[in-house]
Order: sequence, then structure tokens, then C-alpha cells
Amino acid sequence: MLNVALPKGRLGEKVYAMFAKAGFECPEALRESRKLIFENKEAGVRYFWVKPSDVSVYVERGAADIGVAGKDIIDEYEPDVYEILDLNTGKCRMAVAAKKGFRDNPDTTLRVATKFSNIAKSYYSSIGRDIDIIHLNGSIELAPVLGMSDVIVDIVETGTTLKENGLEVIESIMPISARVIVNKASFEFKKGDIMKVLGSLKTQVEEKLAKEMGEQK
Amino acid sequence: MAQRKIRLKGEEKVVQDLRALYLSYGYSTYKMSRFEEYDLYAGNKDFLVSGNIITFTDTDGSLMALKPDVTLSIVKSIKNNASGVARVCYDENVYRVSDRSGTFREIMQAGLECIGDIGLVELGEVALLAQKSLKTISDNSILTISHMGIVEGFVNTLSSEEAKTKALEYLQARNLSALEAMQKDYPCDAAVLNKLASLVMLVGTNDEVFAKLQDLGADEASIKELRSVVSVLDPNGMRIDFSVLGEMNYYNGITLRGYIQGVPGSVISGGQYDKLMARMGKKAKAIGFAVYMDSLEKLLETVIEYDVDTVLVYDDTCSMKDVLAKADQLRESGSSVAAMKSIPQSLRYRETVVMEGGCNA
Repeated sequence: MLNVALPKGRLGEKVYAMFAKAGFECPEALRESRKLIFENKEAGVRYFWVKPSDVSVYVERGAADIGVAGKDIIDEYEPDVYEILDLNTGKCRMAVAAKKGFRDNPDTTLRVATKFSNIAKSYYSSIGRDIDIIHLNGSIELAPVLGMSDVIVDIVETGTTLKENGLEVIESIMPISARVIVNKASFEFKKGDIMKVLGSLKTQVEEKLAKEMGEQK
Repeated sequence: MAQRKIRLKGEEKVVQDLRALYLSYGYSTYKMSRFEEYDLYAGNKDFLVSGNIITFTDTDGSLMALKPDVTLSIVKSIKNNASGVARVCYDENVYRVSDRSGTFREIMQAGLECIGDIGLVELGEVALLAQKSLKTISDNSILTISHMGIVEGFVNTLSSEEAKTKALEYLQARNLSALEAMQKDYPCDAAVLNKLASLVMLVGTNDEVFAKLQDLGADEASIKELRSVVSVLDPNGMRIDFSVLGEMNYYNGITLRGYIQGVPGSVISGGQYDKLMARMGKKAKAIGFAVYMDSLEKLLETVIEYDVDTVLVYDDTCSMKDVLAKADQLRESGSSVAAMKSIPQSLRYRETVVMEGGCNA
């Protein structure tokens, strides 16, 4: 039985479709329901929907053998797992944003509001900037608007939320996409199933990439 | 040549002003090493703002600490046979965990300690200096003041140590409902807890507060001392507030805390700490306070309009000597001058001067 942790939401549904195509179907999993676990004994798979930021915890602790998490989550929590495949979907970027017209004054400590404290810390230490981290759990855009922070470090997809709050991206930190992560012990004990999934996922990613390249031409 | 303005950062100016203020009251500056033996702090962790200390091993194997606090170092240096009153002020960097970020930070701290045969004059003077320090920083400040003797007078009559600890904690948090709920757990203490509860929300003019304290039967000597000290303070910039308490094992007497509009936490903290002195084997009495400069950074941030007044633009045909001479000539008017070949997009400047003539020669 392969245990799969999927992030709740659109990305999770997209990823489920890829797993189903790989031969691990469980149509029930997509049905609107309060249930959290869905199992298909014949296909030998069990899915559970978890909060996106918790996927890495389930996989690291072996409750799930395999899961899908954003690169942001992996870099923030640095779980002890294999980060085995870039699904090339759920793409966005980690960026620094500030109020329009903001100018960094290197003479003072920069106040940074973020959900991603570790990413922000390592980014600013890499450029040698002294910062004061303000850890928030949501509505990060509010911090600079109220003057509580100078900048924010957050995920930017289209930039609409930033724009609507009078903010703009001033620096990109890194691109983000969904990654397949695998528990290190499960990788040894369930190699067959895991390799089967990975093989199919990899082909699907390559096909999609090839198609995108073709469209661009 | 015109006088060039030196741009001081807001905190630097405040530190200078505070030092001038303290010196004018006969305080002398105290300079200390950046580190101390760890033992000095290990025995008095509760006295520190944060128990986390950066330690390292010295070449002789002794455990050292980057100093998280200044008071303990000053107290250590006071000799027991000294007579009179020692007035010491300082502005030093300390190293401790910031309340806000939860990480170690270098924090600029200014302050003073008044140690020795302390009487009402010294108590009043230190409280007054705390208020003046606040006014140096901002026009909109409030000094809150209380007296450990008054609170302890009530708390010490509680029946158990546990009740004392809880009551103090709730008083500091202004947690009225918890103080009232305590009466169920400690029925024999109900009367005292009631009095503490009325201390929590004690508001009004100073006269009203003192009248109320008398009604509650608070310690007479403490009331008298607090009343005397309060009488020298500007009543508009102060409040009597019994949530302002120090650690009971260290502080006695007057306790102080200062707030400034626009800064979320307290900026000044201090009080009389005879008990700490006794713990460290010193006979003298002591009172002092610290001003936390890190919390003022954003408040005092000076908005810089221009990075440089004049940009002197030159090209490869200009000789080094000419460029430097021209720049010096421009500086004579008192403006700042930076010579550069091309101007970075983000640079803000008042004017540009392009090197002309001579360059192509």
C-alpha cells in the first residue's frame, strides 16, 4: 500500500490526476467530502489531503511514503526527505515586495514580515543585510501598509494581491514549483511502487514540457 | 571653507544628548569590556531581560559571556568600603535575545546607576532624570512609576508562595479576572486579593491615587516615599501604575518604566535594586534605569533626501589629478561631492557637474 500525502487545493487535484494516470487511481478522492483519507485497495494506494505546509511533515515522519510540496515549503522546513522530482507545475516565485517607491536605507535594520522566516533569513544573510524578522501567518501584505515592516518576503504568483495593496516586487529570491518528496525509508522498502509512480510522473512532466515548447514554436 | 554638516543618526544624537544630560548631573561615564565571566550572569539570570546569553571559552579555559547587561558589571565594580554616592552613566552595546525577533541582537543601551548611601534626594533625582530622558527623545512620553513596598506589603500577607507568585504575575499583566478568580482557590486570602485587584485599575490624579492607597491600608513609609518622588515629576508626563513591577528578588522601592508614542514597547526600565546589591555582597543601596535605543531606531530614522549633493562626472580622458582637484574645489562650498564616470540609476543627488576643458588635452 502506497501512502500519498497531497496538498489540499487546486495543486493537489492537479497532482492527483497525474498519480491516477500513473496507475494509482482512487476516484473517490476527488469527491466533495469531509473525509480526509481515501483508499483504493485494488490499486494499492491511499491518499490523504493535508494542509500544504504539512505535507513535508507527513512524509518526513513516514505517515506518507510520498507527497507533493512546493519548493517554498521544502526550503523553509528543510525536511529530511528525498526531493526527487520537479513536477514543473504550481509555478510561482519567492520575492521581496515593498510599498511603491520604497527605498532601502542600509543605515538601519530592515524589518521583514514573512511566513517564510528561514528563507528570508538565509536570503538576507547571503547578501549581508541586517534584518528584524516579523513572523506572520497570513495577510502578510498588511504589514508594510501599516508601517509594521519595511518589506515582505512572500510567494508571488500574478502580483494582483500586491498591486491591490499598493505594493510591488523589488527583488526575486527564487522560482518555486511543486516537487515530489519521498520518505527515505519508504524509498527502500516500497521501491517498486515508488519507481512506478516516479517513472510515469517523469514522462508526464516531459510530455507537458515538450508540448509547451511546441506551442512556443 | 563652509562648515560641513555631519549627519548624525537619530539614535546617535539621542545618545549624545542623554550623555550630556547625565554628565550635567554629576554622573561620570563608565567604559567596560564587551565580555565578562559567565558566572556573573549565571547566578542572576532572573535579573536579566532575557536568560539567553552568548558564551565562549577564553584561552585559559574560563567560560566568558558577551555582556547581556550593564548593571551587573557596574555593581561588581563598586567597592564595599566606598563612601558617599557613586553616580555612573554609560552607553554600551549589549547582546541579548530581542523580544521582537527572538534572535540574538546587538542592542544599544544607555542608562545610569546611582549607588551608595541613597536617600530621597537620589531617588527623586533618578526619577526626574528618567522623565527628562524620555523628554529628550520625544515630546510625547509617559513615565510610569510604582513602589515595590506597596505591592509587597499586600502580597507578602498572602498565605502561600504559590499565591504570591500568581498574584504578582496577574498584577503585572493587569489580569483582573484572574486575580478575582484566585479568590476561589485561596479563600483565606480573599480580602488581600481584593485589594490587589483594586490596585490593578487604580486611576486618577495623583492625589486621588494616594487617597485610595491610604484607604486600602498600604504601607505608610512606601506611600510617603512614592509621594515625595512623584512630587518632583511633571504630572503631565507621568502615571502611578502598580503593574510596573520588578523581579521581587532584586527590586525594592521605586520602580520605573517609560513609554514613547510610536514605540510599541517600553523604552525605559529600572528601579531601586537594593536586594540585588545584597545578593552580590554589597552593602550599598542602588537605583538606576536603562534606555533601550534599539526600539527607537524606526522612530528616530532620519529621512535622507540625497545620497550626495554633487556628482562630478568625468571620463577616461580626465587625469586623476584634475578630477580630485575639481572635486575638492567643489567641496569648498560645503557640499558633499562624489566623482564618478556614470551615475547609478538609484543614486539621488542635487546636481551634476561634468568635467570640462583640459580633459581632452
